[in-house]
Amino acid sequence: MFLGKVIGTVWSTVKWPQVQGLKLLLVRPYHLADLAAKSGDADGDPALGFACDVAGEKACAAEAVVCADLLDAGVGDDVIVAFGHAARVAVAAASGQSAAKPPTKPIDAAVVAIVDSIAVARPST
Amino acid sequence: MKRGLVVGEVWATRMAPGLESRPLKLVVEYPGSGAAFELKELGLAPLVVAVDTLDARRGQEVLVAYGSGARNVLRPGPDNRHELCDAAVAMLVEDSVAKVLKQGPEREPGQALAQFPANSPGSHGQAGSSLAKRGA
Repeated sequence: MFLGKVIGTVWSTVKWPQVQGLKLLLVRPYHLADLAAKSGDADGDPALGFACDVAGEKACAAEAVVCADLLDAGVGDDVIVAFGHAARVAVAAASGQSAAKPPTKPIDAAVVAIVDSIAVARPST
Repeated sequence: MKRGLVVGEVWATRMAPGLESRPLKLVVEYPGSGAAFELKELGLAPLVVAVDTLDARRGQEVLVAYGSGARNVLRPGPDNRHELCDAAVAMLVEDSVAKVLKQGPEREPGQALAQFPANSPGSHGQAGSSLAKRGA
């Protein structure tokens, strides 16, 4: 799982019938450096820097992941995203499918939690 | 499994069924081999949300299991396919073990170590003190 921020929505009309009705979100993963900035330390830690300052804004945008949304998250929300089988299990459970049946939806990332708060302690020298 | 450092916790009330009441920790994966790295690299390393059943503290070095390995941490055995978990803290790395692991060719004797602030909430005195920093 990873922690990220919802930065957009994705629409698709031509898709497999199993994913009909699934809302898709674009989520950008956080790095530790991003959380340092988010915690109110506007100048950040010079030792850590900011992810987008170092890697470049385009590099950060390229990391964005398309996720199925189970919890009606919106743009700007901080969310937790599960990958792989865990994502399919979450979608199956949300759609009321029995746990005994193997999940069948062709997805590999899903929003499984909307974050209320984050506590981070940054390592320092 | 991958080695990482617990840097925080996440709380959420709106969660998918199966994830409720699971303690979630933020773990930053050690970049590269993890033998030695600059602190700046840690800021850009992958940040993982892992289910924690071992009560790891901030600053604790841990091993994170992924996929079916993570499900086996929560529920060992064949009947865990319905567990909603793709990353879990599988082991807490002891300081002594960490020192052995970090004796790579890039590590120099007596080099400075990165530490968590002693007064940071949840940090354990020496926890994280074995975090290697190159070129300090």
